[in-house]
Amino acid sequence: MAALSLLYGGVSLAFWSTLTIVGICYTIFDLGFRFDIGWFLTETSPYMWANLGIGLAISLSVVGAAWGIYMTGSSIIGGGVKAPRIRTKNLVSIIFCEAVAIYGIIMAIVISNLAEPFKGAIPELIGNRNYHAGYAMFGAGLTVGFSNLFCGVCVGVVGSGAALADAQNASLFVKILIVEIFGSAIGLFGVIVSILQTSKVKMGD
Amino acid sequence: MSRFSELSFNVDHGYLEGLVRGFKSGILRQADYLNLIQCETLEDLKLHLQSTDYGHFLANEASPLAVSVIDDKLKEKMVIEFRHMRNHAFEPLATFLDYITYSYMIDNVILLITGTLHQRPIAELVSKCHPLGSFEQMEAVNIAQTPAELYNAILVDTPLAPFFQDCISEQDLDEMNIEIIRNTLYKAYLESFYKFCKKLGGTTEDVMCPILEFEADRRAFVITINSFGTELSKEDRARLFPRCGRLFPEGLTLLSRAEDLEQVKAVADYYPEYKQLFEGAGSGPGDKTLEDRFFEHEVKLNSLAFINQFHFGVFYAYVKLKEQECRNVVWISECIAQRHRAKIDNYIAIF
Amino acid sequence: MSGKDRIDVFPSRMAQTIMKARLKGAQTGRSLLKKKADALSMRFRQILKKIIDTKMLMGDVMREAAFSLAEAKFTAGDFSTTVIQNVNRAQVKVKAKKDNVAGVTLPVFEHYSEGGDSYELTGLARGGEQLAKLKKNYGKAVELLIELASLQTSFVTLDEAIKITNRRVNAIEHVIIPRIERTLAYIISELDEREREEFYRLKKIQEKKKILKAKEETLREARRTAGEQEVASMLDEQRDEDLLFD
Repeated sequence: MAALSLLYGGVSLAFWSTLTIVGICYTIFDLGFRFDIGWFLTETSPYMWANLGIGLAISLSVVGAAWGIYMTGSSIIGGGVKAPRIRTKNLVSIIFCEAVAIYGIIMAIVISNLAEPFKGAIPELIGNRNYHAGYAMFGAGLTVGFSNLFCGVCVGVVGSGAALADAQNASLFVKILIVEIFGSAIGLFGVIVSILQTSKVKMGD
Repeated sequence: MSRFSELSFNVDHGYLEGLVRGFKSGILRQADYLNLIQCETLEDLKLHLQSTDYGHFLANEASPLAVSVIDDKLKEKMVIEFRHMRNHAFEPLATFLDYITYSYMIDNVILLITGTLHQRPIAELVSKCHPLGSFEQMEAVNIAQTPAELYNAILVDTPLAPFFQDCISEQDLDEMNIEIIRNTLYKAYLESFYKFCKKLGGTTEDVMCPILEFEADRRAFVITINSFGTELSKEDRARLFPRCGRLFPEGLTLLSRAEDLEQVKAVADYYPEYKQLFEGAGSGPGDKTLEDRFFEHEVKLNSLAFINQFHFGVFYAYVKLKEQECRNVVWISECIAQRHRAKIDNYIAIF
Repeated sequence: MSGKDRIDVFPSRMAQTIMKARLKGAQTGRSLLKKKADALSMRFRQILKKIIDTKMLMGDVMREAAFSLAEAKFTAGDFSTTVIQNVNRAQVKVKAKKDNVAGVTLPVFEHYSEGGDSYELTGLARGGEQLAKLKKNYGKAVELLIELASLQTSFVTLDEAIKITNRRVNAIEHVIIPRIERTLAYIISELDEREREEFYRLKKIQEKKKILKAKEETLREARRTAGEQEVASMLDEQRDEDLLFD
């Protein structure tokens, strides 16, 4: 634990000191104009945003699903030692976590299908539509990614509790399953919103 | 670890938590106890225990069952479960589990010191130690001939050494009353355990600290009550109070000044939860004694630990509840063996 | 048989007197021993009653003591090993005294405690109350055990003493007194016999003397008739003739 916190501390110190030094240099040498957000946004290609969106959608969802699965899984294994009957029933919790990854993969495929080639290379030629498409895909990716990440964690925690509760008292399983279903539903909200976000996307010429 | 412990807890400790909860479901319930107290003989008891989680743990025992055999077997089962958990544990759970064993270790060390003081053969002593509190150096204990040697050669290497350092130097080992050493050690142990749990933070802190606080306060109360009429001076008594409970610091100061049970009760009146315990206690034949009330409260606190998930308190609670269960079963079997059924209901039901 | 089993004495008046004295002594001894046996058996019965009472009580007290051990173990965990290791000397000791009942010395055990309670801090942190109860109960049990031990030894000693006394009483009653009585009877019969012989002898002498006297009378009468006056000389006769054994 000590080594890890030392690492975190070192990395964050390096980050902030670099930022401060660069900032001081920019101020001293009158280079402040280089810190230009508008330039950054227009110069970055919509492809970049689209692909970032795809990547974040799937990767964050997978992180969420994985998180949930290990949490549930380790509890099922532990609880299953003394109550082996829980192992099949509680695969439901694992499936709920898995569903989160499936939402991510669906959205990643949806978003990647919308990414069409276009010709323009400079901001003036790319056009509003393509910029809108890039940012919308990025936003949709973030939406589905984070909502699935937290949904996965939520289902994982509840699933772990469900496994342990089931091991103690079999009648609790169904009741906790309902909680778990509600937890799992919040991932769907993310999917719906991100579909809405991408519905207006029209990439290409 | 300190915040959102539920996010990462299961990485290292999820399996063990599931396991300990599985073990917990094997703890005897009220219905089991009702069956047990109906038994006429120890053989009946054995049969009833077979239908519980204990299974055939007495199957290989010769027919006239002795209570001590039951006691040993119960203890053995608990030790096997605990060792299994300890062997699978990661840090910081490993340290936490070690802390649980320290209290048994203190008893063992006290036994060893007493033995060496009276020149008993050490090999004989080692076999009588509680298996949960055995430590590597115990095998080497027989090289020591005097308590001072024992401390210098062996105890300094054990995890208990800091507790010794805090309170007594090696010269004191010979002179001090053995019970005072034991209680000083236990006090240092409780304080250190409390600090450790505070450091762990999160749900573990939320669950463990009330339990340890109660344990500390209970010791303070009981020590005060038991020291009435003995030659223990008030200063010495005050030094034995663990300083991590809710009584610290005002309550302990008041307790150290108390001279009879009434004054102790007056101190407890300032604390609503202890007031309740003192009010229900009596020394009449039908009443529950104060210690029984404390035990009940402890069991309640420990079983509350299972309400929360993702914390270490369950391990401590499990060990304590299992210990209480061993005592309950031994109590019931003693009652059956001695045909003293009037008090058979005095066990402390856990769930 | 019975005639022969007697003390070997010469039947004489002297021996008879001695025997009579002995008979008297034996009878007195017998009644004294009888009294002693009665006293002993009275005491014996008393002790027996006490033993029964104590044993009854013992059962209860031991049960309670064993149970309070279980109680203490329930609260304080297993403290026995520590206590066993901590022992260096006995706290309760036993003193033997002697009691005299009708000449029989009976051992009486008394307990006394030496030194303070070295375990008064045991169970300080938990179970002190139960331990105090345990100590009290076992103290009571030890007290009873010692009392029982002293009663039992008295019982055995008294039993022995009573048996010996009874044996003596019986011996005096059935062996010694009859023997003395038989001796006395023998002496008396012997003496009677001798008296009768004497009497007969005396009678015989008297008879003979009568005959002799008659002869002499006739002789003297004859002489007197013959006119002889003869004065008998007192010194004539040298010796008395043996009358009995000739």
